[in-house]
Amino acid sequence: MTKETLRLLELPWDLVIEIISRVPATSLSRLRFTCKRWYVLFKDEEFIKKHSDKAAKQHMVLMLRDHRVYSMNVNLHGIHDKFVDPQTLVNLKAFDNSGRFGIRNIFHCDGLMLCENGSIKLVVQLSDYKQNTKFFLGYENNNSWRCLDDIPAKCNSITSKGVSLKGNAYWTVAKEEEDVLLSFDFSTERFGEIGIPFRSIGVDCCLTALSVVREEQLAVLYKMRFTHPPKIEIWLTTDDKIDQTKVVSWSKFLSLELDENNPQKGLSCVTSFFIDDEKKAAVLSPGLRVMRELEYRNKRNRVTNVYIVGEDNLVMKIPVGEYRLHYVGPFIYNYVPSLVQIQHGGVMTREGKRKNRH
Amino acid sequence: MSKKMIVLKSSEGVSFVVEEAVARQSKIISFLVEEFPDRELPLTNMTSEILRKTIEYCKKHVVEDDGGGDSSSSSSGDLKEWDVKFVAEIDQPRLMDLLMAANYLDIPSLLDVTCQKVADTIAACNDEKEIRATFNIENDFTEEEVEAIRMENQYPI
Repeated sequence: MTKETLRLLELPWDLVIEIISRVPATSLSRLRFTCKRWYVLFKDEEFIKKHSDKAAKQHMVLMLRDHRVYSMNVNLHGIHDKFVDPQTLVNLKAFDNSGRFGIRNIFHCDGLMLCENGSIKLVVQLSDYKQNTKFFLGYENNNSWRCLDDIPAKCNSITSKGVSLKGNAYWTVAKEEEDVLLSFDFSTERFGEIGIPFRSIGVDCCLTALSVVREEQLAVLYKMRFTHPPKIEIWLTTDDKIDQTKVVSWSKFLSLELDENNPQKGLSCVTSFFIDDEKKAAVLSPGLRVMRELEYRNKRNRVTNVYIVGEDNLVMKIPVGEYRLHYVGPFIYNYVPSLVQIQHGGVMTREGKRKNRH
Repeated sequence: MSKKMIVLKSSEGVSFVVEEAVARQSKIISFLVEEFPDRELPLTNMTSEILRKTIEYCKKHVVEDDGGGDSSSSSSGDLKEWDVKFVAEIDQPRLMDLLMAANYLDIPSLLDVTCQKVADTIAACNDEKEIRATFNIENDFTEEEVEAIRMENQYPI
């Protein structure tokens, strides 16, 4: 036995597992063909569970544009450097083949990236159709979709895309008196409501986007279009136990006055965003409305911009390529990769666990 | 007051005299000294080099644990930094031995830092070839098998 090589596989197997469960998911997925034993291990449910407890979480940002999924790398360290070329701050990398599936929406849930492509055979548990606000719950490979009818009354105006956090799904809903967070608990299959008491900010204050922060908190984005000057604000939940509470407290993360004389059209139409609360920065992506306007005016491909707002409300507009289709994004999502896989031939049980069909 | 001492003997027969409190970070040693009044423990599967490293780790941690008190948050930060440096300085074959020692003696915090260090090395590998070379792992896949799995995992749309 040579002393000079690393004898990883000579260790007892439980020690090997102990080590591998600390390697981040994206590295493991790159190394899955190392040997057969590892390949099998990475698919083992017990190992996947251990891995998700032990390995450092990787927070990724995805962008959906023209049915393609991109991973978006934002260098927030560079935003306070006056001489930095804004183009170098954001880097998009397309997922192989993601354009083939006609993806219209992405959900992230327990490490799975669920892509909706508008057909019935979806691998998503829930889909929201804005026009008639019906919710359907479907089980993978089951082809059965059940209409959920216990939606709280007057929840007929959903103002954000759905996000998933700690096993619940959340949307924001505009009601007459106030905005609410509509939640759906997958284990009980029940809806719930949590008040968001921000109407007092201004009469024209309108909630347009919802985002998940570090798998723990929610953030909402408000815009005030007709105040002088127009403003956008981002508020963040202060409690990381949002799944266990009915009352949530919020703190203001960002308040940005838009320049009336030099309106940044995109900034007034933000439909998705993410924030980095450590670096005190937000990345905002304008969505549908501005797209449509521009699309009609000009039939050419248009440049996708994202806006980075750093400390001192310094705004940077960064072009990140062209888009063609106005009805799918661009839209940005949070994603935490894991080893969880869709099991072929399996069904989702109510507890969210996958069981193999016999 | 003189502190209780015990003797740990390496595979080469070298004796290391350590304070009992230091050695007791190993759950196995802690159990042995309670069960057996004998003050000398032979550790026949540990070389002097690895035993010295293990004792160095335990000494650092026992001191910090005693003197920490209320200011433990800053000292635990320092301790973490020390741990990182400690494992960074060890070459990789020795790191495996130390990991085995931590496992054998049941010292959870040492096992944790050594496992993490090996995990970081794995994460730094760019592909299967690199990791096989680094860790001397035999490739038991044929090209056809890999190809077949890749085909199978394509989405059936």
